[in-house]
Amino acid sequence: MTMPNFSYVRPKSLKETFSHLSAGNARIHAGGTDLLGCLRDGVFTAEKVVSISQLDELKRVERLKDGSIRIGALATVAELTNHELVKEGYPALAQAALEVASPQLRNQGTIGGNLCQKPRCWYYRGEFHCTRKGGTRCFAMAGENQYHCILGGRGCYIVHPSDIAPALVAYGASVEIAGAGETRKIPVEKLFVLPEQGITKETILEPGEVLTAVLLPPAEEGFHSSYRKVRARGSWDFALAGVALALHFHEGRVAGARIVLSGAAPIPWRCPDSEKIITGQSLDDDIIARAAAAAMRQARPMQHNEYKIELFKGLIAEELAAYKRS
Amino acid sequence: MDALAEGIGMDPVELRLKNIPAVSQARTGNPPYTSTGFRQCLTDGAKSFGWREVRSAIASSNKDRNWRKGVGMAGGMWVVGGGGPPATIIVKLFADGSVSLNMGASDIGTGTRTVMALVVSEELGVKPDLIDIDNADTATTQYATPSGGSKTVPTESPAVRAAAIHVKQQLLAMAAEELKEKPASLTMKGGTILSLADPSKKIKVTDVAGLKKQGLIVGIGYRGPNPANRAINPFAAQFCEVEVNIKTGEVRILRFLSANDSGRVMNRLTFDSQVIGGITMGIGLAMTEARILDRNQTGKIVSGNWHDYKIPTAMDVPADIVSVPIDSPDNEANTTGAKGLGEPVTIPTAAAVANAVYNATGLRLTSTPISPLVLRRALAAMEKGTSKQG
Repeated sequence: MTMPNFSYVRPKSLKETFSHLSAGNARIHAGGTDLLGCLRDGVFTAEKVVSISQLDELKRVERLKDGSIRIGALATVAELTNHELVKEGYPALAQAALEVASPQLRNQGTIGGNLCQKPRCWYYRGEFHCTRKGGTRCFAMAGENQYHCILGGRGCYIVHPSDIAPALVAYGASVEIAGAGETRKIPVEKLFVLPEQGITKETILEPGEVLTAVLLPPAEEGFHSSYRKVRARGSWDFALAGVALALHFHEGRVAGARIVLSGAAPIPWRCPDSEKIITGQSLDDDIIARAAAAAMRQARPMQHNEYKIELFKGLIAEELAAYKRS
Repeated sequence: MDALAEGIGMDPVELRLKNIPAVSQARTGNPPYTSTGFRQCLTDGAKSFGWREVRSAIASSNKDRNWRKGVGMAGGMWVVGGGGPPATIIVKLFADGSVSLNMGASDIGTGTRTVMALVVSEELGVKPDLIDIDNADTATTQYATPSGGSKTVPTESPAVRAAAIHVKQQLLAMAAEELKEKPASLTMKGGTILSLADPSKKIKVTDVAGLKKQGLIVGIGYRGPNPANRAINPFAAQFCEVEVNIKTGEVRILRFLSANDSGRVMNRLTFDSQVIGGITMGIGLAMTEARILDRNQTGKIVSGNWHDYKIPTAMDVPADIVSVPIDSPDNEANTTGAKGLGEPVTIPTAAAVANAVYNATGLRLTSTPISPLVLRRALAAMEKGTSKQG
């Protein structure tokens, strides 16, 4: 496939960026690791590619006065894997970043781009005019759906491709979204869109808006987190199943919990029933098994992806078991 | 083979050792092999791997863990690998003692050029760095068959040797005149020609008047036919240790060992490189690679890119790969004693992995790739079966 023609601009300010984005079919270029592939494969088109690579204010990673961490949207995935502020307070985020793609792609890809990336469904990426591309049919429903979602699908059965997003949801992180008008702050949990809410989009970003930063709440005492990913290949592969855990312990019991799955649903998938089951409890085999089973209670597998149910149960149980007696 | 061995309560290495054929059972007339180092592949491989010890120790290490260890082995032979005509090589020896080797065959990263230089060096006593190689150029080199079928070394190297011998014959004839000896009573050693009977009678190659006068000697070598009514095949035995997560279906390959009989080991570095590369490709077959069609709808391929068609990465291949070369020149096969290496390495790899997974889990998988998806399905089927019985 060849790269289609487009015009290319590198604005020097956000204001200038917004004016470029307001002109017709424009796309934001940050690391470009996903955008260029999509353009080359004809997943979508762009008349104008707006590079935000000169916006240095989007590159900072800093601790704010209230103890929270602000990560500029252009911070690379590689930076997240080894930044002191991230490694110390938010290990699940560092672990998730390390599970992303390959070293080259982590050096180039950004946290903002990772959150806004397009799904990896092979029908969406391939020469199939599917519902997400404006067609009338989801080819995964009766097709090769071994890697597709078991939760949250309707009319489209993608899984959300990000490893970083589930970790951010587990931390209760937010994103800053800037546009020509006012800048808004949205929990990462509310950033993503289920197919039933809008089958052709993945995030709530409106045309002309830019995701400018990720905000992590201050890390607290007694707080433990982790991310683990099961994949078909050791590098450069998306999750078959993944789980981000963020647990508060108080006197040996779970005082608060977030369990968020990757590879399960079209968005990072929280498991509120499982969280309820473990909250207030000290983790033992019985509680863990119940929590793992509850996470899959709503699962609706298709012909080829039923294996994911037991895979997720095993994965969640194994990850929770690491916190027994901690 | 593994199931057969288990069925009769025999070690799978032992079963293979008891069944090594001296003749090809698949070919008409059952021709004998020119050589089979399969026995040595099995015994040397098992010994280096610590097969018996590891196998008996591993079962007890698996109690109460999600990650279960297992070991497996498999044997293999490659259907071709003997090479054969045509191949035409031109070797030129210049008056300054340097050599030019002209060859049609390509070096696709396998070390062909290195191996051919070593053959010339061995025959003419010239240092490899004095040998200039011109190859795989349709304007300046001879017709050659493609580099495939693990045949480049056994096809080309005998022709290289023949061309070098052709040069040597002419050179020794010139030197014989000067030393007043018969060509047959002369030998070459490190750039010097000397009498076998009286080593004090000698002359440096660069001092041979005939060569100086002529400026160069041209030798041509052709690949002769393979021996009639013989089968020429490389053999291999491989051993591996894996770890399988019985909850998630993940497999980690902890180490691999490959013992290969490919006749003479022409060069250890490139030999080992072929072994490591072959195991890597074999792991791709075993674990990650699958061509997937949209079979119920459009018939189009859905895994038609390098993300969805998953070749293994450095993270899928163990750091601990051991090559055990069985260095046994096959002098009946050809004049360099080499058989093919490359594809033969990939033959037993997936089977060894599958047998190790069986050893770890009790799951007998007979198709590839052995991915978490496939293993998770198999585990579910086994769990179901167990609960029914219980």
